[in-house]
Parts: sequence; structure tokens; C-alpha cells
Amino acid sequence: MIEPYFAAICQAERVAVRSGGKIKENIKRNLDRYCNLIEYCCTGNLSLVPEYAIAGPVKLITFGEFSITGLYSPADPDTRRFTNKEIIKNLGILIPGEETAVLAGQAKKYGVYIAAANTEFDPEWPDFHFNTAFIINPQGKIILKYRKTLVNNPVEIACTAHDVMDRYVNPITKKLDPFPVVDTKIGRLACCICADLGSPEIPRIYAMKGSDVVMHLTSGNTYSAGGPRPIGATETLHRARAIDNSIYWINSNWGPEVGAMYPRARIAGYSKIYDYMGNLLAMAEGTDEMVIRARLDIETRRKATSLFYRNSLSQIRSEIIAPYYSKPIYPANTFLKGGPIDATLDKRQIGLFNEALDNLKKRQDFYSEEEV
Amino acid sequence: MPDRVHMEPYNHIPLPNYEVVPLRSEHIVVSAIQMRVDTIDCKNPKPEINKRINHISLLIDLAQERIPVDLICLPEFSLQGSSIRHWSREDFLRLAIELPGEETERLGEKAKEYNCYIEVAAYTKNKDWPNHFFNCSFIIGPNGNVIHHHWKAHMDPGGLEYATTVHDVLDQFVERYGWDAVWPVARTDIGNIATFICSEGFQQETARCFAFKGAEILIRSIAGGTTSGMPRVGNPRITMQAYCMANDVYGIYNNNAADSSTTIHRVEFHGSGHTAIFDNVGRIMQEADSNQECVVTDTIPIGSYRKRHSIPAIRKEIYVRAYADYVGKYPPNLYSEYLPKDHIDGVNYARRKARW
Repeated sequence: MIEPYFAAICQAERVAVRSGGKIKENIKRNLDRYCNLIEYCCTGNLSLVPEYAIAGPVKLITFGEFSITGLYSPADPDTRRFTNKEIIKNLGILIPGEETAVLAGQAKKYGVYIAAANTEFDPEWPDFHFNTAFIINPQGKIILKYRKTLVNNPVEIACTAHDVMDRYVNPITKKLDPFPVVDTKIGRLACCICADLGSPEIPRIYAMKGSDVVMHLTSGNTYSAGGPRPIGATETLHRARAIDNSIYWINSNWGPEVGAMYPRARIAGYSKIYDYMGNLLAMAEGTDEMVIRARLDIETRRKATSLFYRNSLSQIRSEIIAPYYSKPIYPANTFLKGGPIDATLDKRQIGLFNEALDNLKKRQDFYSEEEV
Repeated sequence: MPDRVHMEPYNHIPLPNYEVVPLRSEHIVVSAIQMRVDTIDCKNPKPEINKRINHISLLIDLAQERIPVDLICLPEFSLQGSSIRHWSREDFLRLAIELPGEETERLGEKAKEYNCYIEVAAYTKNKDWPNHFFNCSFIIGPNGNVIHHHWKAHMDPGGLEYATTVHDVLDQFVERYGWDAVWPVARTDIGNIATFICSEGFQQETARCFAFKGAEILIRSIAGGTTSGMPRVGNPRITMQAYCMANDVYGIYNNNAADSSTTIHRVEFHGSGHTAIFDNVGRIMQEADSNQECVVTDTIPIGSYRKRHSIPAIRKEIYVRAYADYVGKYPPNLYSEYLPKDHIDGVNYARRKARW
């Protein structure tokens, strides 16, 4: 029996780690801030309001993508984009490592689960870096690691499980498990990261694997990105992921980034939590630093999804769908074959995208009206 | 850094701190039927009321088509339409239905068929209250019986309507039924439900009183007014949303669809549409996307909600005095002395009796 509890999103402000060339100091400053925010989630004024106290404690706290060492955002005085080697050296952390230990300390102190994502250096893969989401349990242990699948190409050059698929082993589950789901005292949890939103398959797989809560840790959304999607589109996708898969969907986004050359609120704000029916439970109404929270009732979700009309997965006719996914689109194992990609906007990477487009073209299958 | 704050628990009754009956399921499905409320011929009401019930039955079938719906709601005037300014008391008494009566029995068959509750708002009469008619919201239970009814508690008698409210016969009402019956809450296996009609909601006390008594779902049946620009009372849909937020209750705001008739009422019920279901913090869960006939359906996680819902926590003592000192516009028991013959008679009578 899992009692209802609160999930809190820390839409944290962060100093761009390259700001002033003081990477180590900036990382420490950010971690200190996150510790404050975790403390606030568990002891702040909201936990003193009787209505909230009745409703249950905060048991899950989330941060955005690149939580600890930040994005590659150029900052004065160094305005170049980092290369792969520079990212590994300056931004890659060990998970677990000294930085995650700080968060683990807070998880233990307040008895909460903490989810975050960051650039990871894994000694098993010394030439690469991963964009990794991780969950720390109240005992301070890393209990899940997920490596981002749809890296935000071509500006992101992290390695994915798919790029080294033939040799890939999930460091926690010790098997080829690109989409891990962990069963915990607060429900079955899973993570995806930012541009993974482009793949409806990922939350679908999580739902099939029994996930109750999917945490989508991001650095960006429609409202502030000025990106290619029209206003409101990202929110629609978030909501659809919750509805389609009957899961709690936690979109944990950045707050403002200070000290970067980019605008503060470039990809900040509007974190949100949807329930398993797609109802918006909480939303950060802006791009500033804030904490939002919503009550999750895992048992009720499970009861609901045991009814066919409340579980859209029951409608999947997998046999007629599966063949369409069996042929390659974006090529696998490219990092095994060709090594890491050194810099953003790399010609080789763009070549891989073009190969994917060719593959899509080859797969096209239709008939002409003339044949009918 | 401080550890988690450990506070003493309240020395109070465990939740829920109001009367309930066990729920049939964790989730209930509610449908608001945004239907036309064409006005019937008051000289020969029966056949047209029957036609309206046929139509309602079809709409209920439609609502029940995809998912088992636990609660069906209808707009104000759902059985007879309304012609307040033109119908005399004699007309109203002819077209008003008995509770229970053959009409509720027919609707009860539908409730039994689908094991659901049906909320209706219509003109009713009662043998115990000769010559009175009521603008009444009522609920038919899955057993086919009328399990709850509530007379519209407020309509400005100096301008709007002259159906009898509880306030208009207050002393007699309380003597017969007690104070508890003034703000009734139906304790059902799909949650605690309170119903009210249109202008009752012009006063926020209505929702508050129901919430004090443990209402979990408020149903407001209404006809028109959503966009009718009533500057004094504001947009009733916004107020409904606010009641849900202020009282931590779910809300069903059930308006009529655009009237296709060519009578004056087509104009009278301007502001059709915008039927909506609000969650307990006042957010729109679902709403009609036109002012035509449609069914608005959503799911309320009632079991989960009940685990932590409480009656409103207000500092009652500082408000009581202000209410006690306030002089209401109309005195109580207005219709215990005299029953107006028609609308204009009612308006003039109420204006003569008004305290200010």
C-alpha cells in the first residue's frame, strides 16, 4: 500500500557553470542552492499548511536536465562551444560521485527520492559522455540510470545506448536495458530527458513496463525556447504522454540561467505535473525559480488502469505495429564504429541524419490510385 | 539546516470530517448534458414534457455509449423550458410536475437501466404546498427514486422570478422539515452531492453552506447567463469556478444549448453553452466547445479526493455577527402571506415588501 504523497519540482535558478571561467565554484554554488531548495520542499512554509500536512509529505523531488554542471552554454570569457573532450573534462561527473553525494546527503536527511539529470562521465566508456538521468533513494543510493536516447542533435553530442548498442549494458541493471523502470516505496519510477519528448515510444515502453510515474527532466519548453515548435505544442505533447499511457507525468524544467551569454529565460520555466488522466495538477506559472508540487496517488492510478477503458495500452494491436519498428531508421552503433563525435554541427553526425532520411525514404510503402 | 518539521497532529475527528456513505468506486464519471430547453405550451404541457423526456433519454443513451457514467446532469428548465414573464401562476401549476410523479418514474427507468444518478432541474409542485410552485433541482437515484431535492433558494422576486423559495416560506418550512433541509446534501455512493440552480449561485453563501455540510460535488444547473453580460452578478461560470476553488469541491456547471425555437425565449436564454466540469481547485477539466447540444464528460477521482478533503476551515465567529446585523433586502416568509398571480404582480408585491 503506497500512501498518497507529494512530488515537488525544483525549477531552480542556476549559474551558468562556465561563467567567469570558475567551473568548480559555480558547480558548488549550484549544488548549495539545490540543497536549500530540497530543504524548502521538506520544511518550508507549504509543509506547515494543515491542508498540505493532511495531504501527505513530499517524497519525490525533481530537478531539470543538466542539473549539476549545466549545459554547454557559452559564457564570458570563453564563448566557444565545448568539444566532446572538453565536455568530458569540465562537465562530466561520475554517477555516483562527489556531486551526487551532496544530493544523496539531502535525500537521506529528509527521507526523499531525488531525480536529476546531468552530463555523465563513465570510466567504462572513457571516450564518450552521456546525458544521464538518475534517481537517488532515501538511503542515498543511485537506484536508476537512464541515458538520453534522442539527444538534441546536432547541438548535442552525447553518446546514447543506441550509439553503442551492441556493447551497451545499463550500469544499474547490468543488462541491455535502455529504458529502465525501478520499483520503489513510492511507486515504479522512470525518467526521460528533454528531446526524448520527440519519441512517444519511450513513455509508451515505460507504461508497458509498469511505470506509475515518468519524470521528464528538461532544459527547455515551448513557452520560452523560441524554438521550432509552435506555442502550446510542447504542453500538448506532455499532456498526450500522460493520457496515452495513463501515467503521472512530471515535466521538471529549468529555472533561469544566470551568467550565460544566452537570455536568462531562454529555455526556462513552466514545469508541470499531469495526472494519469491528463489533468494538469500543477504548473509553474513563469520562468523564475520556484517550487511546484502535486499530490500523487499511486494506488488509485493502479486501480484505474486495471480497467480496460482507463488504460489505453489495452488497445494496442502490437503484431501489426511491430514490423514498422523492426527496420533501421537512425543507424545504430555508430559510436562503436566511428568513435565519438567531437564537436557540435559535425559533418559525420549530419551525415547520419541524412542516412536516416534515406532509410525513411526506402521504407515508404504506398500504392497509386491508378492501380486501384 | 533544520530537519523535517514534526508537528503534533490535530486533535480532531479523522477525515472525512463529514457524513459519508461508502463509495461504489475510486473514480466516478460525470456527464453534463448541454441540451436545448425549448419552452413548452403551457396550456397542454403533458405531451410536450413527454417529448422532452424522450429527447433526454436519447441524450442519456448517448452519454452512456462509451464509458459507464455514474452521474448525468441536466440544465435548468430541462423539462418545461420557461416563460417567466408570460406564464401565470395558474399556468405554472398546470405544467409543474410532482416529485415523485410519472415524469420522474420515466427518468427513473433510465437511471435503473444505467445504474446511474440523474440530476434534473425543472418546475415542480407539492401537494403539501398548495398553490406554490418551485424551480427545483432534484436527483433520481439508481433505484429510480427521487433521492434528493432542493428548491432554488434565491431568485430576485423584485425582478426575476416568483417561484417559491425556502426563504419565502421560511418559518413553515423549518417547522415541517427542520434546518437541515434548508441546505440538503445527498450522501450517495458516488460522493456527497449538492445541487443548485442558476441565480442561487449569485450568492457565494450557497456553495459555502453546502461545503460546510460536506458536499464534494456541486451541480449548478443553469439556463443562459454565461455570456449574457449581467454586470451586477458577474459571469456565473466564473463564480462557479471560484466556488470550487474556495471550497475545495468539484463542480459541474450545466448550461442549456442554443434554443432552436422561434419564441422570445431564444433571446431570453441568451448566453447558452460553456457547460463545464471544474476540479477542486477550480481548473477546467472539461468544457463544451460550442453552444450546441453536446455531452461533456469527465472523471472525478473521488476516492483519492475524499482521503484528504475537509470541510472549509473558517473563523466563523467573526462572520456570524456581521450576518446577524445585516438587513436582507426581502423579509422572510414573503409568500406565506400572499401568492402573486403572475410575474408583474410578484415583482410589484416584492418591491412593496422590500426593506430597502
